[in-house]
Amino acid sequence: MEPLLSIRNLRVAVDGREILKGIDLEVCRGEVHAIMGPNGSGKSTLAAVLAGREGYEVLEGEVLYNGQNLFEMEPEERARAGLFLAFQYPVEIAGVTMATFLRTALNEIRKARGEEALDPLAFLTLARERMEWLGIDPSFLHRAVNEGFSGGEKKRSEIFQLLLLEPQLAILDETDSGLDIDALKIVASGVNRMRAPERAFIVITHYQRLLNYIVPDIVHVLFDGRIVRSGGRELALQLEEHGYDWLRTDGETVVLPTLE
Amino acid sequence: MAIPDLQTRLRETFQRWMQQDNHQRWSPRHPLRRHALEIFERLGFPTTRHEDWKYTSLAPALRPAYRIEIPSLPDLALLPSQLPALEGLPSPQLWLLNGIPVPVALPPHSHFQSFLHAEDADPPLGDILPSETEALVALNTAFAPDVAALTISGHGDGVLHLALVTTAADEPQLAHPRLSLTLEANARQRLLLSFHTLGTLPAFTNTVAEIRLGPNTQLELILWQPESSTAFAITTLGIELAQNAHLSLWTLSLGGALVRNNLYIRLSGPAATAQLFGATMVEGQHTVDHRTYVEHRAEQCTSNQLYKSIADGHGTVTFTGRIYVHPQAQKTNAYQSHRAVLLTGTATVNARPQLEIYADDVRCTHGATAGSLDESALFYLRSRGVSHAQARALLLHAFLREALVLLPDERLRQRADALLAERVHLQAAELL
Ligand SMILES: Nc1ncnc2c1ncn2[C@@H]1O[C@H](COP(=O)(O)OP(=O)(O)OP(=O)(O)O)[C@@H](O)[C@H]1O
Ligand SMILES: [Mg+2]
Repeated sequence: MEPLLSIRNLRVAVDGREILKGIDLEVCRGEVHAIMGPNGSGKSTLAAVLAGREGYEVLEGEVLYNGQNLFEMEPEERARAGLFLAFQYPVEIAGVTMATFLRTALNEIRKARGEEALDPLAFLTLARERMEWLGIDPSFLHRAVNEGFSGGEKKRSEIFQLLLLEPQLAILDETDSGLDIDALKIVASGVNRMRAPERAFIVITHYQRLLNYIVPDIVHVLFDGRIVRSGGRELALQLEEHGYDWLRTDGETVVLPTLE
Repeated sequence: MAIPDLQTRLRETFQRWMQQDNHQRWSPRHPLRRHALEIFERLGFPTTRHEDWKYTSLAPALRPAYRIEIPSLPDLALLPSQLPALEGLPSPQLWLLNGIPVPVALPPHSHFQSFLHAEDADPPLGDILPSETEALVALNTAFAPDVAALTISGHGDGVLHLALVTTAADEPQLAHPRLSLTLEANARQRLLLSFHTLGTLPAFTNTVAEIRLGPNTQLELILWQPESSTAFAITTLGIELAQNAHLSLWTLSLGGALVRNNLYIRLSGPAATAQLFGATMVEGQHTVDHRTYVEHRAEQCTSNQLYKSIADGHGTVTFTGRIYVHPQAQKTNAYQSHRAVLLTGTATVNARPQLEIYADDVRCTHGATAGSLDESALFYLRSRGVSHAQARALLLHAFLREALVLLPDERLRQRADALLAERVHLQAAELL
């Protein structure tokens, strides 16, 4: 089967400094990939490049999404084609309500899928249902986008958006950081509810704990701009136990083949 | 033969009227008018060498061959249909048509007087304005065809709407509307002043208003300045606040050939408060220039200014905010902020705070920023499928709207929202 996402030898620089130094990654529908790695190794950079943030220089390589060249698509086109990034640091936008923002977004995405636009009432009904899944207060829709949200609320808001927009490929950038254990379970259950044969996830995290709830098929270790290990769940446990130092000291790093 | 300049024409007209003196509406004999003309003659129209006019040139406003004669009245019955900008606003209860007051349906708690002869005016004209130093105020005093004087006692419900219209259909028009408003002790009023031009020729409207807020009063004042590319609008407001008087003032300026707002706010009684908000958007060659002068003369007063501006195309926005705290005005709070977004490299924003503080117990902050749209906010919206154009419109709308969120009148706020949405190319139906 053709992979949903296929990254080949991707090299990316920021301000002339190479951050991603040749990434290869294939993600198929139905799979959950976890990416772990030390601070500054390039995880958020990879996520941002995939979502289409400006300011990155692609030095080499290609990314195919559904067989299409991702770099030829604007960020909104990627979103409409089903790509979703849950931000590590969601942006606060004063004066724009969550409701206005998300109805606009959802209707754009629905249009791209060939579906009818939702009127305000239908939108609110759907949004309230999804908020209930995550235990979010209904008043939340009338607040300004992420403004004054606590760290945990921001992360929950990202997952709410995921539930609402129903993407094909969801990238979660440290959605677990800043969550208490109850919130973590709620967020994980939201994600699990979305797991489906036609949908894939890339979960970026520092902690094995999240992966107890969102069980990955494959774990990758990103180290200094390269994927230096790929393996099953046990890799996450190993990292939890030993940290990243053993990767640093064993000299030659071996890239394991991804599971078929 | 060259047309004599505007100042010469004004002088000659005034002298001719002196000789005729058969006008129904206007007597040049009154010393106040003659004195005002002398001041105007001495000062002349301000140029960019004048500190207060450094960023805005009045020159283009002085070029058209204006009609100076006392204007005739346009047909009131036709006006609402001729002025699309009135749409969505309550119907005016008082018109100022080329400066001539025409009351229509003033509410019972207000008392209207027209002072054809300015000598009768009570309170006296000009004493809360810089009448001796501002050429345009003096010009208005010399030429205003009438003074519309309103006194409010008690509480008004709803909005009192004064529409100022300058007609320039056949000839360029120069108009001098003059308003005097008094809120008696404990009165409360919501007042909308909307500015309009009719016709496609240049219309120069030199409005002067004096507003006196008695003790324990509350005035919510909205200056509604829709877009008009042929309008030169200079508006000078003198507002004096007595003890415990509260002023909230919103200025919505959507652009014109030249829009200049001079706000002279005097906090003269203790515990008075003034909050000034401005939402401004210019494009094309439009110029909007806000000049505020907030004077703290008594103790425990608070003033707060929040102006937000968007400059597109070759437009220019200027904000000069002066705060003057007298030595006796202890326990003063004075805040001021101007935030601007520049959408093109050819648009201009000038912001100058001017602080003069002579009391020791004062809390005062000021800030001015000018930049482009927040890229990370833009990206966040786009990453959810919102188009670049829509994301931009949402952000611009939200940015300007912040200056209007406290507007208390639901209908006006919605109308303002819709106008702003239109200006930033946002489908208002998208708003939830
Ligand atoms: N816009 C930028 N300008 C300059 N340097 C950048 C920029 N974005 C990322 N970098 C640098 O790229 C490197 C990788 O950053 P990135 O945010 O991708 O790391 P990360 O793996 O997500 O780290 P963390 O676990 O701390 O979130 C860092 O050294 C960072 O400083
Ligand atoms: Mg990161």
